[in-house]
Amino acid sequence: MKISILLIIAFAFVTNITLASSIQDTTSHDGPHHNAEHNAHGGEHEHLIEKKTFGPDYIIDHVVDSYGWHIMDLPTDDPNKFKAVEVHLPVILIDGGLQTFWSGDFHHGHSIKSIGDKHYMLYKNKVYSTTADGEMKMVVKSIVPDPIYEASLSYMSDFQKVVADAMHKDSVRYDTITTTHHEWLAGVENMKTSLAAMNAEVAEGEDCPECESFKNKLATYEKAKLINETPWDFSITKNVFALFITVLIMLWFFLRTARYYRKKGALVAPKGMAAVMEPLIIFVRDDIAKPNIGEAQYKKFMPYLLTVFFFIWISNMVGLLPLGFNLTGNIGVTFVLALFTMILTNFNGKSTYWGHIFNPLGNSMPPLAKGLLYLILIPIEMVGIIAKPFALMIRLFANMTAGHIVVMSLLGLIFIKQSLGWSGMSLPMTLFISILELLVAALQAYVFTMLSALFIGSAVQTAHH
Amino acid sequence: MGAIGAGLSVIGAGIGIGLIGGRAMEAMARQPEVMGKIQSSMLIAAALVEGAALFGIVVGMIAE
Repeated sequence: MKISILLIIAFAFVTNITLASSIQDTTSHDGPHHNAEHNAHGGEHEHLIEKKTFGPDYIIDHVVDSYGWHIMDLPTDDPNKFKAVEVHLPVILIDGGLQTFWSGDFHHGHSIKSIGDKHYMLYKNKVYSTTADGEMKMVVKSIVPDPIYEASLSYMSDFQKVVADAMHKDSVRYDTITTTHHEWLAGVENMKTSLAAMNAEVAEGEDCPECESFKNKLATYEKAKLINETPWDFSITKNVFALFITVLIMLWFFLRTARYYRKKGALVAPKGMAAVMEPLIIFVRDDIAKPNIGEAQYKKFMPYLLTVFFFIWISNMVGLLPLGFNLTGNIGVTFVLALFTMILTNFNGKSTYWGHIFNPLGNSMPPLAKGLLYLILIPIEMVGIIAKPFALMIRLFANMTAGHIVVMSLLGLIFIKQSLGWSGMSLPMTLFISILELLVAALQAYVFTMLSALFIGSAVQTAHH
Repeated sequence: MGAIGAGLSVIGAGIGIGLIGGRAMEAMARQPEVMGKIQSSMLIAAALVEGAALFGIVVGMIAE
């Protein structure tokens, strides 16, 4: 018992330290960025990553899916450049035929990948079709001040100005800009450099309206939307890779357990892997399936419940490893899991289940009054069909993503405060959250399975109350 | 504004889960023989409350 607690703590420490060392340094006032060497399209020289600042974007980068599996960065001779240690994963596109290449060919979004007459580029974690010189069609949203409001400002009293400020409406304009990949990146980079220069000129504590408006302008460009065509994308991304790892672990566990029982029969005391799995499987059967679905019909749903329970648990645990995976914190994954529960619930719905939805009051009221009530009740019940699995989806997604964000933020304290002393504060707190996450990983698997069983049970049970 | 909304939804969930936990403890102390049942229904209720709070947080994040 003591040893296992020590092991958990040791595991959590190793996790923290590896995670902490994979975060880059974070000087906040870094000098002008040099973008010169990124102009080569598909250049052969090695691409280095620039020093990143720790902030919300850094955390989001860790939480979302990506094409390559980025493990950590190593320092180079230049203190502003880092070499990425990453695993390139295959990009698989269907665009008038199958196109496959490695994610490393994008050089972190700096290069255009050409195959024959097809060209692809990576922009904000998404693959787009483009031309040989990287044509981009960007839609820039800008806010145009209301001219009447501007003109009438001089005639207004202070109070009228306050009211008018709340009432007036700036119009929004969308401009489509056609540019090239290289020009766009260099342009945004230039704007960042000049903003940093402007900020450096302003003295501490002084207002700088030009900087503010320039910053807003930069933000409109950074938020611009790329409307190039996107090919069908079946890439093995980081999340798909994590999915494969989870599936391999599950296959290993279950095939070994199954082999044991095939050899020894179900009546002997389990040993090895079977001894690990048997209590868990019996827990799912006796504490989740039987009480919620009922003795008579629970067997039919055991395979689904077991799969969901172990899949969520194992992928949550894989997400806790310092490998940068966040499978169950991806809304697409939880959407599919919740969709399965919804399909199982509705396809197995008995007449009582549909009766609860379309005739919730039974025969207890005169038909006319019932009809009026049903105008409200039936739509609400029908929303309930969607809302229950929707809540399942959001719960798992938000819990796991929130856990990852909290761990990253606590570790980030060291880099935001720029002092090593903070690690004395941040590492124990991260350790605490990591251990809490071990609990949450199991709890979320339990809750998802339990609620799935509850929904299925409410659909398959026939009237007995 | 989004952050304020997210914070408010967390306050609500905190009160709710606190009440659920507290009442479940009381019930378990009164009737330890049905501890298991109380525990699992406590978790379900807490998960439902938490679901509502997470809706609030996600909407707050989107509204930003």
